[in-house]
Amino acid sequence: MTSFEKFTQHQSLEELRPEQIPTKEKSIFEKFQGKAKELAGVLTLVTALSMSPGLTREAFAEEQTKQPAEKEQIKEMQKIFKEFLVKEKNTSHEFKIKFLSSDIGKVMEQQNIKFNNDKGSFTLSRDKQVNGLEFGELNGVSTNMVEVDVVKIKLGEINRENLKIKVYNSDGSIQTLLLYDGQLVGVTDEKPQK
Amino acid sequence: MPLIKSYIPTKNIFKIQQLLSASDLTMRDRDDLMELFFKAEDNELKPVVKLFDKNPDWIKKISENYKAKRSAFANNNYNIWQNIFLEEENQLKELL
Repeated sequence: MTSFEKFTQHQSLEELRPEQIPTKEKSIFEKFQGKAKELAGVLTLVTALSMSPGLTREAFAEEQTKQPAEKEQIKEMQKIFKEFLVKEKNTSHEFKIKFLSSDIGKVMEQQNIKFNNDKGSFTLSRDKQVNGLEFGELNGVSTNMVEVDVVKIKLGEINRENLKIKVYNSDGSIQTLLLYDGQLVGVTDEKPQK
Repeated sequence: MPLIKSYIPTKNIFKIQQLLSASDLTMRDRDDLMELFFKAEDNELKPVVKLFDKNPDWIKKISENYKAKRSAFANNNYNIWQNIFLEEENQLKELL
């Protein structure tokens, strides 16, 4: 008899609440050791994380109701970011200060993200050091548009805010920057559609 | 031609991103897995990096596993879990 069969003798899966699934799955995997145990750990992690979109949406909806001020703050942050990207090269000192003090600005400054788009060139560093990300015009390709999504995730008691920045280039390619807990963790490239 | 010239990420999530980029997964499946692992604490991802690094075949299997689980949750159909758990148990037995 498999662990799963033993498990279903005691409890119908239909009686399970979604949040019980990872625990039950873990109990099925208990007998495994070594490499199999390591894989079992990954499988249960995938299960736990798979649950979060539904729970997140619920938690997020609840949070939105409770904290309209925060929602407004996020909107304002996105507005500031977009405004920043369409400003001419000689953006006012006051505007730069305002942007650099916003949450997105702080992250981008920390990561030394530099933009050159069709409207002008923007550097987010307070000093002139650029040793991280660098955007620029290469072989006639420039950045046409940038979209920012603030993704709020709630897992148990942990709240996390991630940023997804999509960069649309003039050659049709799209690059997605993922910022996790304020740190750039990856860049995804999508080739131009033919 | 990417406009992004360089970046200096160090976390496990980035290692996963690199491994997924080198895999045969579609862009959509890669993005879905990245979104999934994005939600984890970074130290929880160490076994995932180890698994994907040593056994790239598992990238596709985990992607399929995730899609099945997402469908099970989305449809609120716990009978689907029976098939998922049985499949997982068989996969684990193969490693014994």
